[in-house]
Amino acid sequence: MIGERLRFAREKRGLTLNQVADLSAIGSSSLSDFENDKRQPKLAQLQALAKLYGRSEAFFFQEGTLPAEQVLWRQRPVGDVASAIESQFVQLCEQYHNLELWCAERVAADLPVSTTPAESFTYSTAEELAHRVRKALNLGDCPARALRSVLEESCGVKIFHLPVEPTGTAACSRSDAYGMAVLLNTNNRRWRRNFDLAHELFHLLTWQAFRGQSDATAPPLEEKLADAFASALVLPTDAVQAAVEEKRQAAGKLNRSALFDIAREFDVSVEALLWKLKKVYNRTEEATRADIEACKQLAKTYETRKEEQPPPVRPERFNALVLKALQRGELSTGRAAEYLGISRREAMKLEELDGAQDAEVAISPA
Amino acid sequence: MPKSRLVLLDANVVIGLFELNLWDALVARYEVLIAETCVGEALWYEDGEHRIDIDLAPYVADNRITTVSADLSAVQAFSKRFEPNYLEKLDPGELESLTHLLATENPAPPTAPCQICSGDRIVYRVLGNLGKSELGISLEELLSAIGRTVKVGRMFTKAFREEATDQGFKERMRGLGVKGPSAGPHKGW
Repeated sequence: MIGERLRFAREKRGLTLNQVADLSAIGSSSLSDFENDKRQPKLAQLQALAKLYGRSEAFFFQEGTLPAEQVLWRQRPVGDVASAIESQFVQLCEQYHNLELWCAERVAADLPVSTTPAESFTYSTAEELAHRVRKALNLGDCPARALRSVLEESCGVKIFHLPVEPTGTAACSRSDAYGMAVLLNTNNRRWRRNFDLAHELFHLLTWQAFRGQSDATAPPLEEKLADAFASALVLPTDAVQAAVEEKRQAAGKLNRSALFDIAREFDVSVEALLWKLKKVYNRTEEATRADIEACKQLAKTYETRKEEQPPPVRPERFNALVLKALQRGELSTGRAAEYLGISRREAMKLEELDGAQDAEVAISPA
Repeated sequence: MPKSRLVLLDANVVIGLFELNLWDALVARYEVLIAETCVGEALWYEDGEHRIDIDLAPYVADNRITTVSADLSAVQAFSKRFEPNYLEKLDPGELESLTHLLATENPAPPTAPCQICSGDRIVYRVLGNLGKSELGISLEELLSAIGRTVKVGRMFTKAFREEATDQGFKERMRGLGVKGPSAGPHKGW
């Protein structure tokens, strides 16, 4: 019986029966009958509802308990947009998981998960965890530069980008169904997203310890711990000190313009760097805030980083898996089109390769 | 001219026929069935650099093509023959077509021998896996049978169909795909 799942999906999406009726052209009494298993929808109707709720048709045929889907926001968007974004995020996670299964390319999440109980967690614990992660993932002195690709390609973390407007920042989710996943805001600059990714990583690594039944956002202390972790990860103290000393020796002092060079080197925001310097060099909050404000004005001249294109919704590995699944006959063209967010005709072009992709690249043994 | 046999076309084939400018020719010579979910899909094809929408409604209205639908319970029962995740691989049009063609639970099966014509490898894999390879036919073969020998895209060729069907058949021999006593120990797709 699919009624229970229809209701679950509609409520997760934050829609009333009347709203669904308006959006789907299916009468509200029919919708009610479907949810109460008095009648079954036709497949075309189920397809329309699946699209509206951000679910696959297969979801409604699954048996067993309803899934526990928890999305943790750093700052949950206000209004109806939050449910829509969450649905899309979860659907992308499930699609990515399916692709990994069908292509037999599931990546084991080999991450140093924390076992410290929530009540025992301190800033030192968070920083120590960051150090362990940096070492385990071999991220080097500028971890932000490699973090995303290492997490995606080597640790199986699913990372997506969606425009999270007008409010809201980043989110994460961890599930037995699809593993670990992070959602970043397309509208943030890359150097901001790097920090957000590290922040969300903390939540994923400490999920077991901190997650209650229905948290939509983390409590303030946990958020501060996540920030401490992120700062320690993307701005390792030893590397930051070395960069600062190099600038100080070259110019005789550390001036504000040099902050932009260091921030660029670590690919973080100047603001994140200044908060790190406060901690490392025991600067006052007043001096830090003054420098942050001054640098906002200097950014017009000294912030030379630019992003030509916004990040794509789906990571490159996801797209590669769709292509692989399609060409192996593990996925239909229509479903590939849906997964990639393109038309069927565009997806058909992916099948029009003539097998050249399978030709061997002859190499001699090393 | 009396129409030839029943053929169930999927959305890729519909697009392919419009791009070859052979849709009307094929509809005139075969009893064409199309899944209801496919008719409802917003299909378009390319004519050079132009994108042209496909509207099948007039063909349905004139009875030049017939839509078929599958009962949801038949779809559910049919999909249970495979691993749970299998259903997700097919789009609704293909699922509806295969259920209509193959499901013993279908209360309104085809009234005459019917074949399915697809541009998707997975459809022919399923047929091979179920031991129903004779129910698949490529667009190349359909056109050839009515004297239209044209170059078609790889997904529409006989070779593509045979390769995919064979893949499904070999998987069944290894106990993969469909559940059932004759398939040996089940290892899902």
